[in-house]
Amino acid sequence: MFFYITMENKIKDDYSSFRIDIIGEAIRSQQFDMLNVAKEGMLQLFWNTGKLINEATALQDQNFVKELASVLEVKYGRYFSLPALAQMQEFARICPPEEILLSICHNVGWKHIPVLNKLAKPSEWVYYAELVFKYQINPSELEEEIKQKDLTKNSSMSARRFDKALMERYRQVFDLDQFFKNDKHSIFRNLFELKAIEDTLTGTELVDQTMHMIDLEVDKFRKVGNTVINAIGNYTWGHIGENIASARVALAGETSLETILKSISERLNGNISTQWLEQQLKIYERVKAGPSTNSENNTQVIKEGNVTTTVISTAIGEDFNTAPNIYKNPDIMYFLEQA
Amino acid sequence: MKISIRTLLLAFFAILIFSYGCKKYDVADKDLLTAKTVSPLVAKAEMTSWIDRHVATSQAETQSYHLLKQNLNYEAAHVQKRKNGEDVLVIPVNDAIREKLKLNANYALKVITVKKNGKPRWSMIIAFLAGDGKTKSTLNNNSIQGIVNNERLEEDGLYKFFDLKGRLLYQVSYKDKKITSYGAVQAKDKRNGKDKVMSTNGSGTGNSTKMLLPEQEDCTEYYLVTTYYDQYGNPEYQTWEYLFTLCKDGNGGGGGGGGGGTPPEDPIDVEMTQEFSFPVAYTSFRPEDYRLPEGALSATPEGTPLTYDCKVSVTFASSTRKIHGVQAYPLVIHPANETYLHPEYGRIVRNVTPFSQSHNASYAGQKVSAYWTSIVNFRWAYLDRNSLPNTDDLDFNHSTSFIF
Repeated sequence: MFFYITMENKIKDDYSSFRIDIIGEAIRSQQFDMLNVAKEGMLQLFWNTGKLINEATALQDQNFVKELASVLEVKYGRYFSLPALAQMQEFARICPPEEILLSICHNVGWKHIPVLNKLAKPSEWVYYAELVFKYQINPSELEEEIKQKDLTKNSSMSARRFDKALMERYRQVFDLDQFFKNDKHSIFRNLFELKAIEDTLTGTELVDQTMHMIDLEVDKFRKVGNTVINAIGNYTWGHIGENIASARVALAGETSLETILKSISERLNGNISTQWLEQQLKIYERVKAGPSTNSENNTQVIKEGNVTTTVISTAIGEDFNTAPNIYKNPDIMYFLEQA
Repeated sequence: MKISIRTLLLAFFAILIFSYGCKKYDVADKDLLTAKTVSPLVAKAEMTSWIDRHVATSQAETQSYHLLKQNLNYEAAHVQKRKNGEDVLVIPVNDAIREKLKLNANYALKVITVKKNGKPRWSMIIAFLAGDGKTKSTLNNNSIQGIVNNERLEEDGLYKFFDLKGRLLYQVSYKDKKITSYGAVQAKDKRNGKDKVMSTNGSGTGNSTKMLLPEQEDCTEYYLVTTYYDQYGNPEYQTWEYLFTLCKDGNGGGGGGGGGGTPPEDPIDVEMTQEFSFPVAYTSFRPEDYRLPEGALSATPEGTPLTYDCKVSVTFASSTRKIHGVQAYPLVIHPANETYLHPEYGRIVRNVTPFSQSHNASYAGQKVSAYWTSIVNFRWAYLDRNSLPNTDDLDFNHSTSFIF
């Protein structure tokens, strides 16, 4: 369904700025899509880990968890410390239905879970998880909200609307500080990056069995996370290249490609280089130049004052589906770290 | 120059080893460097020991395992690395196995065994029939890498996956790098009658001959259920093909052989990703959107076409089809830049740009839901008139849900 809305003066006044801004927005949006996949996968991993430990502790006392934590923390970092494992156990115990888990994973970050663990009913989890996403509530604010029980009475919270800038909207939920802490050696990277998982044997059969199951869960998290993030990345490189190509056609005669790339980079605080942007454009154009039954030529002549520019482009269509693995750009971590 | 016998012998062995190495791989394998050689004796010892750990529960299974051990081409075995660091032992299979699996001579077959820290975790027999199936196929290293790492498969055709006793697990076909069909083995749905072979559109009862067994309460019939997809990922039709019957007392037969026993294998952790497109046609044409059709005698203006392409990808466990992740992609509009002849204003350039986009996909069980919202900026520039471009913003909202 379409309906007309008021024209933004900004677009009318400065079309070139508008086109450049939305490319920056598209890049940010894709970065956060990738982070969201990682974040959701991580919450599911922690829930599964909690469930496995709960199943094992039904047979053993809690000392077994200490032994497990001592090995897991060395292996995967402090996400698997003893207190964290206790939170995972609570998380899996209190929030059991898988469908509810999925919606919660979408809306909150791991730091919210210890607060949500204080809620008994799954319906309360869903309610507060939605509030977290809608009003960008951090864990301490969430705790306060749960104490007050009625969000509508809190005017300062209601004043925070959903229309903030995309980056700000997601920042708290994604736990970005955690993600980028300590640069390349962050515990997140240690947990997320695809690499071989070594077997660790403690000599205690139940610990080893549970460890093996958790290893499989970590491996699944890494594989699925990397697969989906690669799929987004695969699409993203083409999407960004396509956006730049389209802007170049639309702005032909008034803004050069060099200016477009430089302006996008400036809008992203220089975190994304013009070379990287140009690379995405070239990748896109190379794929477009390949054999395709869906392409249709389109010649556009633009007159601006004394300047006449002819730009030949092709229709944007199904080529992404049939593109070779050329989009498998290896710098996904680089792309994420610029978020 | 004096050449010693020792030098000559070394040179002879060097040539021997080099020629042996060349013989081991298909020259067409582009990524030969990613594969590591493995001694035939080591490969044989590993696979024999691994297959022997599988406990046969019937005479037929014992024969299947024995046949496999005898028909692996250990001379051509090699090891690849999976992206998560695991080793994948790849061994081509001799024709006897292909015949046992009732596959025609154009199929290429290899057994892959995924190993973690040197220990086998699971195995599959992969059978590949390229393109239209009329030529002899080659299953190259890139395809195996694509399968075990869930990457786009470059080779179109039909891929079948069997367990070590020759039971079909699932199959998938690709055309233009897209999934065009997916089939998995399912127990018969008893709600539809004991002997009825189901088909959602009334076609496709399969080509296997169903062996009639005495009616037993403890017997279950298994079918290959294949769903066929169009270019957008929409399911077009489904076929049910009888494979075999399993009975609790171990009797069974027909079709492609029975199963049973508890294999020593981890679950097969191979994922696949399938894309689904939901194109939405733009129909609320503004006066500026109208164009004169090219070459038309009657100058009846028509709306200049525009499509909003909403796309979702679903990542799932290949053998169970259980969803592991879903992702909605940003809205793509095409053609984004179009020049056309307006009946009144002359040539118009229309630039269409989505912005302030929001999209999300979620799943519950096998139900996938997704939405896209965006503001779409239209800009019409008049090439034959001395006037400023006209612009407008339209809201776009689209949501969909489907059973995967």
